[in-house]
Amino acid sequence: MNQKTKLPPDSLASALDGNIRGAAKSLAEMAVNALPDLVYAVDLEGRVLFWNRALAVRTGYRDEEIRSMNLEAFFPPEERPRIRIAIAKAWQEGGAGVQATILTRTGERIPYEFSSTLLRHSDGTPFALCGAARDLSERMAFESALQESEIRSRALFESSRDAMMVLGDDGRFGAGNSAALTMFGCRSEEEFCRHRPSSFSPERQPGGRSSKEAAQQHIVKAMEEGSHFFDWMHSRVDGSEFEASVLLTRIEMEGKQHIHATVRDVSVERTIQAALRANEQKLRTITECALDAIVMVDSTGKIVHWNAAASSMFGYASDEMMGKDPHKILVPPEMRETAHRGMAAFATSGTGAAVGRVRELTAIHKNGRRFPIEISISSVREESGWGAVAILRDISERRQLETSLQKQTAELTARVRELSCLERASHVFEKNDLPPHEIVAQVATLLPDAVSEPGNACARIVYHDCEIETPGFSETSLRLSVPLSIGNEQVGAIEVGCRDDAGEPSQGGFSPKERQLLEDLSGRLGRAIERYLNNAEIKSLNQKLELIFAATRTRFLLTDEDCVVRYADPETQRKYGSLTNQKCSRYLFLSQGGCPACPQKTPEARDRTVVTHFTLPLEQDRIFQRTSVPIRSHTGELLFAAVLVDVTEHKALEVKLNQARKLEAVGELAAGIAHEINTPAQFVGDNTRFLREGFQDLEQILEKLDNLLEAAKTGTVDPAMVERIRGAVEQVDAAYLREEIPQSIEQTLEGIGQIGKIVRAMKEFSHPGSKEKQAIDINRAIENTLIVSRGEWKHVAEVVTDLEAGLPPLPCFPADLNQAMLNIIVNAAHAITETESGRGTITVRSKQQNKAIAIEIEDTGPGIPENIQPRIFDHFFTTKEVGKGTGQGLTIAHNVIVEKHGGTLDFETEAGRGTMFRICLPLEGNGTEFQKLPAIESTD
Amino acid sequence: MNETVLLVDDDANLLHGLTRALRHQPFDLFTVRSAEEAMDVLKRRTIRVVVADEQMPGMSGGDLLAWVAEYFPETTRIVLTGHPTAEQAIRAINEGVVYRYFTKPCNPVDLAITIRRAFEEQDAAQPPQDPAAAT
Repeated sequence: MNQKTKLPPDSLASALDGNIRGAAKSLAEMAVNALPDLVYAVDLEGRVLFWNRALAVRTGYRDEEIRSMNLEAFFPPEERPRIRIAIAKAWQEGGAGVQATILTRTGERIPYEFSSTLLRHSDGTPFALCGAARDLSERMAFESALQESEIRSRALFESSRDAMMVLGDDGRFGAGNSAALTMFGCRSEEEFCRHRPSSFSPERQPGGRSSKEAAQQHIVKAMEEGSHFFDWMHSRVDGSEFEASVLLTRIEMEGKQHIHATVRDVSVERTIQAALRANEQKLRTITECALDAIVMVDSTGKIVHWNAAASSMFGYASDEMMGKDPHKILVPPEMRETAHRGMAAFATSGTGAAVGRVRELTAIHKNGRRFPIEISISSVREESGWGAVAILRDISERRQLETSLQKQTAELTARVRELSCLERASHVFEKNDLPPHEIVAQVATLLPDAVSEPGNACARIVYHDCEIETPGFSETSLRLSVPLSIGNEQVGAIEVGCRDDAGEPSQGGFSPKERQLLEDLSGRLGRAIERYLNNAEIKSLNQKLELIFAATRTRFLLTDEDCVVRYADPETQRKYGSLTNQKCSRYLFLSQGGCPACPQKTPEARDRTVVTHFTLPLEQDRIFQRTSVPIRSHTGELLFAAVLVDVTEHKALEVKLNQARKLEAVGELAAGIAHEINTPAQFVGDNTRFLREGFQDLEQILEKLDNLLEAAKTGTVDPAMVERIRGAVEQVDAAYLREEIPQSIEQTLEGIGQIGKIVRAMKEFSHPGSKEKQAIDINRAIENTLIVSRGEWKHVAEVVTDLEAGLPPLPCFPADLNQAMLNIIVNAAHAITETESGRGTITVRSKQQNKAIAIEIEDTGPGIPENIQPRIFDHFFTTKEVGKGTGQGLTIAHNVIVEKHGGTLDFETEAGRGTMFRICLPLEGNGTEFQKLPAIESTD
Repeated sequence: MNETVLLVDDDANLLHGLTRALRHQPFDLFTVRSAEEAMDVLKRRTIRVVVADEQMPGMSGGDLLAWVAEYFPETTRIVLTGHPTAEQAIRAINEGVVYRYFTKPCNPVDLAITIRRAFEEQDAAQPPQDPAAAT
């Protein structure tokens, strides 16, 4: 049987696959699942290969859903084209960053910032796109708040235009712009000019000084210094006051000294500043809570904001950094110049390479450690130029993760490659009909994939004198070899080698894992070859077996305890159709119901061989001998192996042989029988000839008597004539004839009777008989046997018969029974010749005893010596001299009586007195219930 | 010398039949039914031809003829058997005890001719007139 021990390839693959996934998962769990960021890897088709817990949690999809999802599916439909382009770009350029909105399972949209990196094979071929995404909701909130306040401020500034006016040396306004009119509540410039400056100020300035005096001082100062800037409390026409800042400038107009005043209503500005302060507070709160470092610089490049995350990221406290140039401290020396140039350009334009996108840079921690950061910069308009808000993120963790992920992916790829190598090898091993050199050739091409550098790997398999190697194997210098064995015998080796030009021969050879894999493959290859060889052997054995079945015309059936056929030889299947898993009764009796006399159902059939004869339904003219042998399968199941041999010819020969044996026995009797027939033949012939001659003589006398009669009629009887008659009577010796003729007729009839009797007895004795028992008169059979054997005994013994009259007909096989009795009678006669006198008596008795008939044949011979008594029924046992007996006589008698008739044959013997054989034959039934019967009582 | 023939057979009917068949032959025919009786007759009177059956109760014909050959070598010995066997034939040839071998049933004319020829041969082989010369 073919014992399959290997796993089917699917389960093997999934088992290994499970292990790899398990390993990756456990590693990924450590690193990736801890992150709030979404981490994932996709293949070229966009299938999600890996993802972390955050991805599942944030998107709301279950792991099994994600497994079958395409990356695009995480984005709202309108974003997908853009995403597709970004992914394509990433594959082309080795990575990309993009902002996009994720559409969760529940329909929620969350802004995310994506950055991705390509993972590559050692040969540079990309195999996965690894990405990370950070939730932008927080940052967006902050940025939008910032933008909002900026816009509002700008609007306020724009709306609060400065009021300008000219003050003449006469102390009156010479002119006022529309802003001045609006500011002071005048309806026209004319009305404005009618007012004196003092009318736009309250009596006193804050602090108690007289507005008139203070104003005079400021004007004087402006006149002296050219310009003067100060805060002033104004009042409008309607008396309402407002704070303002005032710039007085001395101007020359038409040769006269004038004062030009620019007044700005700072109450609005103050309100704005307060609002801004509040905004700033709000921003600070946001930034302080943010996880990202948020750093703001003004247009001069000095830090104006430094949040808590920045402190922890760079190691500098907020007050250490405020007012400092960040580039000088945080940027590595080699990058500083570029950074400064960029900043300078930015300060005037508000744009730059770093603005509006996410870049990855290297930063320096306070302790000198360099670490990768991600930075995105937004510009902020300021009065004096452009400030910037930078959001920075420490991505060293992510980098590490990416590296480890890359490693893991590479590892995973290697394992997947090994796995696919194993799986393909499994397919090869699965093909039962592949001859060993084919298996070897196919496996050899798969081997390079089993090692970590398949591009540089070659393989060779040696199996007996078959040697298969992949191109370039001879150039390899670093090799790993494991033996290839079948059973315990090493039949070759499996080798993998790496070419030196890989440039890394120093890696110190192959990993234990690779060795293990190779050993695994070697083991399975060995088993596959062994299986093929076994199968081939089994196939060839099967063929031989089937040839033997065909050549010997032997049928073979293997059945189980329920008579269900497990195997049937081809000839049987051809004749009876497929019998496998059918009841054997279908074959033996063309019925599913079971056989009438199943030889397997008998208790002894379970532990010994049973031989039966029968005919098969489709081959009625053939006789089969079925030898049923109980066997135990290797699983302990009881099976029956039935060998069916066509014994038709054998049986026919057996019948002929039996007949021949009978004829042989008759031949042995021939001497006696020939004598019995030939002696009467002699005297019957003699007598008949005598009668012919005698009649001729008598005819002469009759003729003469006729003449005398004629003469008497005519009355002319001549005495001479009478004399002639008397002379003739004397001449023919009529007296002798008259005496002898009746005797000779009597003796002739007797002789004819003898011949007829012996011929009839012969005929009855050796009647070939039929297959069925026939009821016969046993006494007549005994008499026939005695007649036939008369030649054997008549010179040595007197035969006495004591046959019970009116015995019921005995069902038997007459010819066989006669043979048995003859053999015993002949033996009896032979026994008598061994006595001193050489003469004796044979007594034959018959009698009914209950439901049987007993026949006794008793002689007055010397008896059977005790030491040979147990052997007298044995085949070929004889005490007669060579050539006198075959040693079969009593064996045949025993077989006939016991086996064929179900009777018994036993004997009583006494030295010097003789032997009595007793045959008991049942009158009905097959004799199994037949009991040994007592001896016939003497009828004397 | 009288021409005497002794016929030995255990079957009386056979003896009757042959007596009838040979009644006109020019020799005296005696019959006995066993070898033992035959030996008695031979001892008492001269018998020139013995015709014996092979199978008889008691002493067989073959043994009888062997005895005759020993004690009455001039007597011609003829076998008339119901069942010829190779054993008898071999004995007849090898031991020279038998002159002719007949199987039953035989034509009595053949038997008669053979007997008469035997007499002629015996007469032709008469010992020389001077028996002393032989001693």
